[in-house]
Amino acid sequence: MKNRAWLFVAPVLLLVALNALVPIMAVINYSLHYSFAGSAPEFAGLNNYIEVFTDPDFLGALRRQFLFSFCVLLVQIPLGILIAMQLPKSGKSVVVCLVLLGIPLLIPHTVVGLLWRIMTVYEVGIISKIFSYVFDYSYRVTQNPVDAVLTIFFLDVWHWTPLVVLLSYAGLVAIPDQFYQAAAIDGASAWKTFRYVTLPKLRAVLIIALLLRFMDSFMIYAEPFIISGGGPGNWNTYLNQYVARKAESYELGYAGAASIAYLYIVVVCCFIFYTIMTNLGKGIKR
Amino acid sequence: MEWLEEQVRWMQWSLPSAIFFLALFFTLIGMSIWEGYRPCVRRKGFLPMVTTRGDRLFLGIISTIGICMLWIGLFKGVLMILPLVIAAVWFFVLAKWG
Repeated sequence: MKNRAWLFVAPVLLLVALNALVPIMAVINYSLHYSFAGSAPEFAGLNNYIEVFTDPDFLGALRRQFLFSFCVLLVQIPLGILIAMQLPKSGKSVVVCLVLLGIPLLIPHTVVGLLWRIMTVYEVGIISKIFSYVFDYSYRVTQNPVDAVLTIFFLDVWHWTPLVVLLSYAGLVAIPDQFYQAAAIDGASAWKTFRYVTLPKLRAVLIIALLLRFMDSFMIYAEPFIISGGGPGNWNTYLNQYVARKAESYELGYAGAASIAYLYIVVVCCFIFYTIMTNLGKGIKR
Repeated sequence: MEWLEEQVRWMQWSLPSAIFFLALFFTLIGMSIWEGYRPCVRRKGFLPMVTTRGDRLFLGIISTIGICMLWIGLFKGVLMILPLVIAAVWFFVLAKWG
């Protein structure tokens, strides 16, 4: 019986192998060769990796990527929980709130990038105008690095916080009222109720939210590309865009090594997040 | 055989990369046979979590890659035998007491 189960799983395993393993094997092979379009590949050993890890542009993109993902998660997760806690738990307004919150999630990355590009065009876009009239500040995304970085940051927060809200909301409505009643009888403060009732019960959905948001923020590409082409300078060039540039210039071996390093970092970070989050509440005895 | 070679040429296979993947493939096959022959018991070693044999293999491979990448980043890939030795020792410690 146990062996027969494998037969049912076999088609899916085959599909996964074709969809995931074959490309990964190919990228690993490319990363171990000097490979330029139109010429025969030459075995390079670990030279491509040495080149990647000693390239200041790659290391810069990696640093910016970590900083971006860290800042985005630092804002999106608490903000998402906070908004979810303020949403009504029943009534017709629930549907309205959820639909309104879901709208940004339906917009494709490229369209979001374009929307924010239009909103931040110097002295034309609404954001630029607000900064100009209210703060007397010239908001120039294509020229000022701080403006460009902040635009991508707020764009991502605007685009993806609703996902955290929806996940947190699903977790919040699933918590039985008895827990809150017991906390109220014991005289628990709002903070302690949140810390020892709400947060542990939200752990499962927060793991999903954190992993999804981390992986997605780590793969940001279209938005910085559309808003400022990764500039000014390299200020908005993140790992995805950096690797894509190398692949576009047919440095396939280098791009392969950078991709594998990129994949490795994502896998390790997700593993660490997952391990920490799944073990987080286990020590709480109260 | 020639047909297969034609189909996978785009993947740029070479002998070292083929050996690497075959080693990985046979390790997984070996682990599966071992699991069937003697099912593993989840245990708590020096790692801060309960692990299975497969978990320790995964962690061993991941940390081996990490050690090599760190070495490349810090020392620009000189004396690559050293991180491999360190990784092998670490792999053994992890598998035995992890």
